[in-house]
Amino acid sequence: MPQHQDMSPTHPYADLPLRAYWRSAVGTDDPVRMTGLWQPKFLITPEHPVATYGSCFAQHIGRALRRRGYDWLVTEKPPRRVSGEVARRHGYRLFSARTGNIYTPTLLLQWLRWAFGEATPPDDAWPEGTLLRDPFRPRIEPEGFESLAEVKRLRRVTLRALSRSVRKARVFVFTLGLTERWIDLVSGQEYPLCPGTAAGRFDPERHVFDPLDYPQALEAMQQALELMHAANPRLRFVLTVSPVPLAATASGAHVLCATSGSKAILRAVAGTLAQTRADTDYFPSYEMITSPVFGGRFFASDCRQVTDQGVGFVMDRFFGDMATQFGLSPAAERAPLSSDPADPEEPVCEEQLLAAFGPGA
Amino acid sequence: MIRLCVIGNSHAAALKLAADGFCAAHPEARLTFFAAPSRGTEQLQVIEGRYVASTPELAAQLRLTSGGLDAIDPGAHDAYLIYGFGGRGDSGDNPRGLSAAFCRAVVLERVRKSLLPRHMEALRSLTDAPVFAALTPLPSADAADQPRRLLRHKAEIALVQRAICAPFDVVLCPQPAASLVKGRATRAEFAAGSVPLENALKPQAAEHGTLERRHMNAEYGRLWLDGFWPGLCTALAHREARQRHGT
Repeated sequence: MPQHQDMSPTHPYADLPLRAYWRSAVGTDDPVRMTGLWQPKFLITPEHPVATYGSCFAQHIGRALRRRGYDWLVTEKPPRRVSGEVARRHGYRLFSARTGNIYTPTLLLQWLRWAFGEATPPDDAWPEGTLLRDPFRPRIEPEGFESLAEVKRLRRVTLRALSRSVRKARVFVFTLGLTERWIDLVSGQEYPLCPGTAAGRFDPERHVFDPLDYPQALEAMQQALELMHAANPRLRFVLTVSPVPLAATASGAHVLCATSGSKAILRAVAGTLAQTRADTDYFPSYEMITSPVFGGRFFASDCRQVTDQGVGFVMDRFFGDMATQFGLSPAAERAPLSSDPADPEEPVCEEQLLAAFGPGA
Repeated sequence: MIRLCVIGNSHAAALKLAADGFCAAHPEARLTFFAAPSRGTEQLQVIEGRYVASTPELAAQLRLTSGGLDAIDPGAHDAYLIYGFGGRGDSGDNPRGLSAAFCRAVVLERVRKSLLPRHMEALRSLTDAPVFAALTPLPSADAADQPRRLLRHKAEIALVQRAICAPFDVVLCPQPAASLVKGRATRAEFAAGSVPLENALKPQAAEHGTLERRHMNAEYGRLWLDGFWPGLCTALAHREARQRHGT
């Protein structure tokens, strides 16, 4: 009787792809040449309209898509022949609609509920001199709004554009940024920034610090995805976590520790949703910037801002890994065209304003 | 004699077409045009107290439009008009989804990106004579149209005057009221039969196509000059009075 030769691996770790082993995947080469960090679940082609929202870091994604010839879906546009600088200063072409930065899963859910008529935004505006600020995007108009009617009218414009982007997109990219948030006890609404920082006046009786824990963040993100799926069943989601540390924390913890805690929650939320939902993927831009493997080389000298080189690395991996996974040529970055209406280089990061309130600012 | 120097682009053709008739009616008027299409006059440079064409191409254009000159000599002109730059809107302009502040920012940016600030700065480095400016005419529209514009013409003129022209002591001239449709466009009859700048110099001027909506005709030029001239005369009279009194 011939001797049976069992070819199956002796244990689950015996026959994994090279990327699964630290020594072969990480330890042997220049980390910048590392590939395969992402195994995308679904192909995004240049024909797929892609909507982008989220924290400051998300602003890079839309621009990178456009530079590679992808269809970055912008549903709230400035008039033609407006420079990038002016458009950017007024919150255009940073995201698909002029929501400003959406830092938390709950803030995304709040915007979506307004956009799809599940809730109504409060008739709220913060006075600043003779002008008004929109509490839900306090820096969107650098000179402020002229009246409450204008605040409400332009918020409706943005909500329609947000709704349209969800309905028209094939892919919705969202960058999770923060878990720390501020709530208005009167309206129950969440602000993107603590009142009194970028705009408004802080009222300790009314404005409360209410950081998200993991279950809250997961539940809100799950609801947000469900809401968008109901509006557009074909929509796929790509979640990322911003590698940019907190500018400041109100938690009482050291800002470095608060950053770790916040990012850990968001990373876990994104990972869980990618594991449990077929329509959702996680793109590891967070790891690409923050992993010790890269030795902090993608951070500016303040160890907070991500350099252009870092952004370039992340986006090269995005398109490179997409091409590898689906057997395509990576989309080449084209030179910016002089006719490009808006090509801001620096992200608009309201949260950074918090740093201005720290000592030595 | 009032010697007016006109620095312009293709829109100056409307004034040029009207100039002969206007000067016949105003014997004291002498208009000299230094014009080149589009951004051609960007190649004018201040050199040794004159505003000089710095390329052979522009020099040729200026000689053609001025009747032989390729430099603007401050001693040869009593006043200046910078005509046809900035203020050009876009057919996609729709203020409905925009804030008033953003509309203003866009209007100002478009003017700042035009050659108007450059010419104002250059002239002010050469002369303290009266300088006037006029933006690109509003695109034409029929009276029944609902033209869209980020700002109404009056508000646009006031804004650009305050933010861009006033620092150079330049007076921005509005379009003639009789040429406007709802403060947002030029009456269609003023675009009919407009001619390109190079043709404005020819006896038999070939017209723009019938779809042309941005360039205006000789009738518009006459209307514009008729409205402009009294203000120019007043400004010069005031200046002369100030000089007489040493203030």
